[in-house]
Amino acid sequence: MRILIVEDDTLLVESLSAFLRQAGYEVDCESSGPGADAALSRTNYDLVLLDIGLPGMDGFGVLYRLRQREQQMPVLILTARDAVEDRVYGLNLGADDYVLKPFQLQELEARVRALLRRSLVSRERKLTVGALVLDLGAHCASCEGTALELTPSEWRILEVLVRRAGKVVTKEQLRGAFTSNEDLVSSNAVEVKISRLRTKLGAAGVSIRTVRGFGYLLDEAVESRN
Amino acid sequence: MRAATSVRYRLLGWLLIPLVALLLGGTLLDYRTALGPANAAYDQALTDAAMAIAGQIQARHGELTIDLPAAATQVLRTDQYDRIYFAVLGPYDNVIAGDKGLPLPPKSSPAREPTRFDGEYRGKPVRLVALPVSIEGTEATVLVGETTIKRKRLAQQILAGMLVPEVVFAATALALIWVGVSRGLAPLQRLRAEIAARSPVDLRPVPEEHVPTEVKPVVHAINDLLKKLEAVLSSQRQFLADAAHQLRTPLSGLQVRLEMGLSQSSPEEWQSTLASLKTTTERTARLANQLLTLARVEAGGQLMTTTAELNLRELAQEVGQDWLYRALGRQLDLGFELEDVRVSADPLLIRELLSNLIGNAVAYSSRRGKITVRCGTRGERAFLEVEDDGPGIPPSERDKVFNRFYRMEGAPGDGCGLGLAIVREIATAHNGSVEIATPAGGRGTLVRAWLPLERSNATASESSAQEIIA
Repeated sequence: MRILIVEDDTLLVESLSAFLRQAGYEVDCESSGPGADAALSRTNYDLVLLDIGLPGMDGFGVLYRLRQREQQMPVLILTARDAVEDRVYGLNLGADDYVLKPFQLQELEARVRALLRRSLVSRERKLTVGALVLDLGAHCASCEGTALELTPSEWRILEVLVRRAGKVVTKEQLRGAFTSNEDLVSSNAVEVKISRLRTKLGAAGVSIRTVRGFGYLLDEAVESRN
Repeated sequence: MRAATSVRYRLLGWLLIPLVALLLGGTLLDYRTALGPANAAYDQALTDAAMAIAGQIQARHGELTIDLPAAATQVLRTDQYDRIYFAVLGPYDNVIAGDKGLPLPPKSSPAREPTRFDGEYRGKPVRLVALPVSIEGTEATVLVGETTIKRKRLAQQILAGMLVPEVVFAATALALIWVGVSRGLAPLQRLRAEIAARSPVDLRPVPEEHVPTEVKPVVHAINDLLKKLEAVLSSQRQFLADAAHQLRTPLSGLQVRLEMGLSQSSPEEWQSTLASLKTTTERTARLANQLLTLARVEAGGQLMTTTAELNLRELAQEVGQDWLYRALGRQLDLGFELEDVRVSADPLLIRELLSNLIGNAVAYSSRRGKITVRCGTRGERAFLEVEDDGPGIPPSERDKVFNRFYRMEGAPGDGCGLGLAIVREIATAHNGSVEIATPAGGRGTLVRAWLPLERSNATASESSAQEIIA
C-alpha cells in the first residue's frame, strides 16, 4: 500500500510519515502543490493525504487536477479550516473524507484504513476487517484461510456490515438485505441473525456491537485497538 | 439617486410642483376672465355699427335700398388698428350694399338676435356680427366685421401684465420654500455632523433632547443599536482576555515541561515527559477548537445566516457516529432514543452543541457507564438531550457550570470549562434554552437543550391541538 502525504508543515509530515511507515505502509511526501501534482501524475497511489493550504497551488487545485486526469484514488483532506462551505467544496471536487486539524493519530489511522479498504474492494473484490476476509466474487467469508459457513441472508447482512465497517448500520438498512421470498422479516429476525453471526465470527477478531436505539456496528475487536 | 433619497429634494419637489401648477392654472383662469369682457366690448361696438346701418335700410315696393352717405361710410370704416367690413344682405343673402363675399353666420343662428362669429376674409381672420332685421316684412341681414389685430394686442397686453407679477411671485415662493426647507432640516444636519464626527469606539448614546420629534424614533433606534454594540464589544474584550489567559497557561506548561525533558537523560523520564506533553497538547488543541467555536457562535449568533431545515434524528445519528469510537473504546454504552423532529437551525452549530453534550457525558462517565442521546418534541418545542449515569452535577452548581471557564471543584477529566458555555450560547442564538436535570434513575446528569420547532411542525401541532379542543 503506497500513500502520498501532501503537507507543508515539516513536523506534521515527519511524524505522519513515521507513523504510517511503522504501520506498514509505503509513504512518499510532497510539500508543495505543484510537487504533489507532478508526483500524482507519475504514480498511482493507493491513498492521498492532502492538506489544503499549500504553497504554489492549494489542495483544492491539486484535487481538481487529479480528478481531471480521471485518477480515482481515494483522497483524505487534512485541513485546519472548518467552514462548511470549504468541506462541501472539497467533497464536491471529489475528496473522499475530511479530517480536521488538530487530529488524533488513532482517528486518522481509522479513516485511512476505511478508505484503503474501499479502494481494495474496487480492485480485488475483497473486503477485509481484522482477520475476516469477504470474497465478494465468490460470496464466501473466511478467517485466516478457514471458510465460515453462512446462510445466504447471514452473508448479505455480514456484507452490509463489513462494507460499512466502523459505522453504524441501522436495522432498517439490514432488513433491506433480506430478499422478498424469505420469511416475513420482523425486527426480531435481524436480531436472531446477528446473534448467530456473532457466534460464527467468534475467532475472526471482529465484533458486532449493538448501538442502542440506532443499529449495529462491525469493527475489529476493541481489545486489539485500545 | 440623490433626488430620490434626499429629504430636501423630496420636500422641494412636493412643494414646488403643485405650486407651479397652481400658479399656471390661476394665470390661465385670470387671463380668460379678463379677456372675455374686453372682447365683449369690441363685439358690442360691432353690433352698434350693425344697428346703425340697419337703421338706414328702407323698403320700396318690396325692394330694399340703403342710403349711406360717403361720410358716414368713412366714419364706419375708420379704426386705428383694424380694417372694418360691412354688408347688407337681402332675403336670399344677396348683397345689396357693402363688401362682397363676407363669411355668413352659421345656419343655426337665432332669427332675431345678433350673432357673433369668427371667420376669414381676404386671407385674414375676422370677427363678425350678423344682425337679422325685418324691413316692412322683408328679411335682411346686416354683417359687420373687423380684423383681429387690436383684439390680439389686447390679449398680449393682458398676458404680459399678468405674467410678470406671477413670475416674481413664483420666484419669491421658491426662495422662501428653499430657505424654509433648509431651516427645517438644520437639526438633521447637526445630528449628521455629530454622528460623523464620532470616533469608532465612542459608543455613548446620541443626545435626544434637541432632536426634532419626527427623528426621535430613529435616534432612539440608533442608541439601542449602540447599546447592543457596546455589550457585544465588552463581552468580546472579556472573551479575549479570558482566551489569552486560557491559551497561554497550557502553552507555558508545555514549554516548561519540554525544557525539563531536554535536561533529562533517562528513557523513563522522557517517556513520562512525552506522556504529559501529549495530554497537555490534546487539551490545548481542544481548547483552541472550543474558543474558536465560541467566537463563531458569538459572531454568527446574532445573524444566523446559515439556517437550514434539519432533522434532529439524522443529526443525532451523524454526531453519534463520530463519538462511537471513543465511547466504545471506553466501554461505554452509548445509546439513542430518537424521534423525527424538524427544526430550522444552523446545522454546524447544533452539531457542535450535541457534540459538546456527548463529549461531556463520555468524559465524565465512569467505565462501562451508560449514555443515552434523545430528541423529541414537547408542546411547541423540540428538545435534544444527553443523559449519563456519571457523578452528576449538584443543584447548587447547575447555574455556574454554564459560565465560561468554570470548572467544578474536584471534577474529573481535563475539560477547559467551555463546553456548556458553548451549548448555552448556541441554544440562545437559536431562541432556545438549556437546562440540567437529574435523570429518572436518580443518578447522573441530564442536559437538555430546547429549540423552537420548525414552523410547519408547529402549525401541524397547533391544528391538532385545535382539533382536540373542538
